Amino acid sequence: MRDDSQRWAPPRDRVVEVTASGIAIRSFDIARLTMISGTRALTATQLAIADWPNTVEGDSYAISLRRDRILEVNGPARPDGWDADQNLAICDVTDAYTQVEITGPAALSLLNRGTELDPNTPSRSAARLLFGLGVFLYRHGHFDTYRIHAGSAQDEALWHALTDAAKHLT
Amino acid sequence: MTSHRIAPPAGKTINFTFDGKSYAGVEGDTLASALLANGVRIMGRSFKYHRPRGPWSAWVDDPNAIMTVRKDGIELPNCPATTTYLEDGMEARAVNAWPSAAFDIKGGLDLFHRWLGAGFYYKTFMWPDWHLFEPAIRKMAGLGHVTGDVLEDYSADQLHDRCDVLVIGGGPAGLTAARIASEAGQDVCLVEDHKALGGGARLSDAIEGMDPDAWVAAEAKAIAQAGGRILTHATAFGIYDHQMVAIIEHGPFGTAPRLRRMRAGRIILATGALDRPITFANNDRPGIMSVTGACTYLAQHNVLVGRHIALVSNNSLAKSAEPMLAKAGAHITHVEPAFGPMEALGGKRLRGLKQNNGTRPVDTILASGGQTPLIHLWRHAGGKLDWCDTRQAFLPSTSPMNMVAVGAANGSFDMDLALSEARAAGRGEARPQGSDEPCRYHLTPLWPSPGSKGRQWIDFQHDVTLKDIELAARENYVSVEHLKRYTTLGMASDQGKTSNMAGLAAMATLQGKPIPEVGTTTFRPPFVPVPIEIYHGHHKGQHWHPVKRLALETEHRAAGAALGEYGGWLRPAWYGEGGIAARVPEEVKAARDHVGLFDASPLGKIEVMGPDAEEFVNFIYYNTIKTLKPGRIRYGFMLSEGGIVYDDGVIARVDANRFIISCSSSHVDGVRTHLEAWRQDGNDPDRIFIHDTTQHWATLTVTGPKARDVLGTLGITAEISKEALPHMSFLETTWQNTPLRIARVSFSGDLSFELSIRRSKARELWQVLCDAGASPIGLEAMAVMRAEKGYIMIGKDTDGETMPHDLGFTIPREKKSTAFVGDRSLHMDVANDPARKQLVGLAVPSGAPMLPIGAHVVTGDAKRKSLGYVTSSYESPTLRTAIAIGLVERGHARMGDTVTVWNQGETREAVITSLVFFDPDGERLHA
Repeated sequence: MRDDSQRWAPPRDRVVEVTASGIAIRSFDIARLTMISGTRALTATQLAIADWPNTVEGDSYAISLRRDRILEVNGPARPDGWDADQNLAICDVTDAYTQVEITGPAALSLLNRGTELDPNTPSRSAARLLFGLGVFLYRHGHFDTYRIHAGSAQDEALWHALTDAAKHLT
Repeated sequence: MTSHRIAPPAGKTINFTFDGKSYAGVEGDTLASALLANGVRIMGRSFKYHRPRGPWSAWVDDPNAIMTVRKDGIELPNCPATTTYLEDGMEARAVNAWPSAAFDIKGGLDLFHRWLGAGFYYKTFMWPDWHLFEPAIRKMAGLGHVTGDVLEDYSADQLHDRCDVLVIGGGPAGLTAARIASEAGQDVCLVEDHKALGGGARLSDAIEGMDPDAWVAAEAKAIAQAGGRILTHATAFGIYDHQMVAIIEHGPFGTAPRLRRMRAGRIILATGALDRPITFANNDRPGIMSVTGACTYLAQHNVLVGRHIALVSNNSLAKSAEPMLAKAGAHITHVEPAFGPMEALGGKRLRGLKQNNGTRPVDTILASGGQTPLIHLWRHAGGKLDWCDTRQAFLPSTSPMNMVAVGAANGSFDMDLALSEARAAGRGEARPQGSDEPCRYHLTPLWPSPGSKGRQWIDFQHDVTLKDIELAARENYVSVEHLKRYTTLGMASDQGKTSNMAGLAAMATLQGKPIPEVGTTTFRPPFVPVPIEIYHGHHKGQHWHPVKRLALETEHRAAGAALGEYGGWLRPAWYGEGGIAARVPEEVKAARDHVGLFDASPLGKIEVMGPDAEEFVNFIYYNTIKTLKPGRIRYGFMLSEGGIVYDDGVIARVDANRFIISCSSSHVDGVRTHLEAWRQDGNDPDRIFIHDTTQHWATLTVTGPKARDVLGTLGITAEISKEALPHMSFLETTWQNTPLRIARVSFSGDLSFELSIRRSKARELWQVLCDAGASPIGLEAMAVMRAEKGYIMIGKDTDGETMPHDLGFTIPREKKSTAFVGDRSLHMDVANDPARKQLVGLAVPSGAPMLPIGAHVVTGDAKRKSLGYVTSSYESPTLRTAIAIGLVERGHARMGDTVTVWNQGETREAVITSLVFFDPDGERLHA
């Protein structure tokens, strides 16, 4: 085994926002993320549900991941485990994801560097591959503001993919 | 000068050099047009014989003028002079010539051509050993040289795009189709590979009654006004699944091109057609060019390629070029190729064209053996071809889904017919593919004539002659695919655009078959050479396959960690100066004597929940899990359906309906997928749910005889005594008001606690544990400790055939009453073979060096048949001896046997032992 420390740049030093031509890319934290699965998961939340290409508003909402799974963002506190009354599997996954928000007229163009994204093709799931990373992607607050959740261990990978792609925006 | 510019340059003057000489061109020139304007004809040398060559054409079908170009410190090899637009300060050099294309020192190789025919290498360099010759031949092979320079900021942009209608080709047909479609409200994108639109339009006197330039401008304006997009200097080079068209967009020289992945609803292919060369003696001489190429230089660059021109053509289209060339001042002589064999006279300077007994003193020969439609993209998409006898060409037939070919690409060489097709395609009308309309275009079939005299080139760049085709046929390389690989026909940088038709026609004649029965070779992307850079873009270096990063990476780096990639994660291998050999024994000693702290965060934390969770995990695991009590942990295997061990790890039961699977660190994504697949196959997916929470948690392992003391400093209220929290149990508590899981499991063989806390609290916990005296240890130290204890690593100590009973875990196979994944396979003959390889310990005499990993355990006889191999091997700091683990045939029955271990010619002896070298009674584990 060799020492490969130099092959990988150390994690970035608290850079949370960059701006480029027509966009701003911002890292941000979320107080609570709750993964909820069950046959009635989509109706188990009181929160507005984000899917594609709809725009979701506010601080608290849920993201549709698949027909039996949502991710509540800043939702009510729920105990982890199997909720036998509602037949729901529940886990706090707040630290499992890293969040990035991209806003500006060039945001869609930036995202199209990493995925095939068509606002005219709806999807019930926000799950996508972006630059080869499994993410949840949806519009938030405004049609040219997008939020991305990626695995927290891939925070560096997502950040560099987005900021590298932003260099190509003109 | 033979070739020259007929009108004063209109654009800005651009200065450049070629092979060290200075020249001037004008804006809009290609390297080739600028050199022709300066009277330079020899722009390269052929690959094998180093024959002097000039450009055959004016665009992508030229195989001859290949150059290394340098500008502003950036050097790019293998730039086609015909498609590289001229820029101020360019320094161009021919790639296969030294000191220059005009005077190439290797030009003398041509004298040896009789001995250098097809298959020369295969026949000559076999004896005594190909590898003797290989280094020198490899050095000679290929065109151009890549410099060692790193091009800063040379990173290709990649983007996805979509449109309703993609029109490929900005000639008359493409422009017409794009205008009609965009005016009908379709989202249209037109792709044209030149900087200027028009394609073959400027070779006509008029289009729809208009001057060609004015017509092109009007069409482009109409497309833009209707909302259509036009991409120029962009080439569609490949069509992939579901109408994904790859487009390369070029910028200024030295900048990385952009890759646009265009998803098109419909594709209209208007890529035009190429002139075919005519095969006659010395047909590769500088000054022999395609008719279309010469007309293009004239129409686009005001460059007349010769003064006394022989127009050799078998078709009506080429013959109609005469007025245009004559108007520019050329003296044209028509030569009918059917009248007799021809031979070009002269060497670097063309002196004439001989036919029968007559010689025409010309300085230039323009040839056209007919039009070949550009159907490469059509074939990428899976479109079929039909042979057209009238046009002597393969034309598009059965259409790929949502794709249509129009104009010359469809064999419609007459302008009015091409425009009519394009209008229909623009409107989206379905028409049978392959033009069967009567047309004015006509030709006399003209193909290579095997057996005729003289050296006649088929593939110019690779020096494949008609005699090479004849030789290949004699040696029975009659399939076009074999012919291609034996002779390298069509393997030059133009990928057969000039050579394939002539080559397969020659083979057809040699076999006495019609051309369509011989068929074509496979058309594959890319249609034109593209830099590898566009395929990876951002995905290179550390971004090629980005590793997952630990929450504590900054702390590890601060502690002097040597980081390495382990199963997709960047993890500490060891800490501190001195390297692996010095540090690992120290870390092992610290953990064995006192307490070590290990970042185990990548370990899986996959939750399985629901009313059927118990049955499901019992089915997924080889071991019985349904008897597991809440708060307890069990070690187990997951098998593939073939009964092969896929993963090992522990599973904890939280309550009746909830389990947490802690699978191998590198297997988390795979195990999650494995679980999801089985959840949906044979189980009720509405009663089982799987949440992968791995990245929510950081896991810190505190291991060593003092581990409990260290935990005691955390101030947690939960009881962690030996009785309250025995080995293989866990509890959930809180630390600093944050949920904390404590699992009493061990991979080191010592008293160990795995502490899992949310990622954002990992730093505080790490610091407190360090302050309490725990020493950070890396993955290499942990690997040594687990081997001392005989704990396995899946994929290292197992292979693609290892079943659980090979590892000593036999009971579920014999006694488990419920079904589980892999069950049936564990009872097949192969699973019951007594000669299976089984995992055992391998002990060496005291003081002997460690066995090499991969060394084979062999029979003691002279044959040295392999009985297995060493999978793990370490110097054990604890035991002060070398230890090893290996898979050995009948290993469990050979306990105590002395076996021979062979590695790279050396033999050693080892004794087969139990896997457990350290604490065999488990006193430390259960402390």
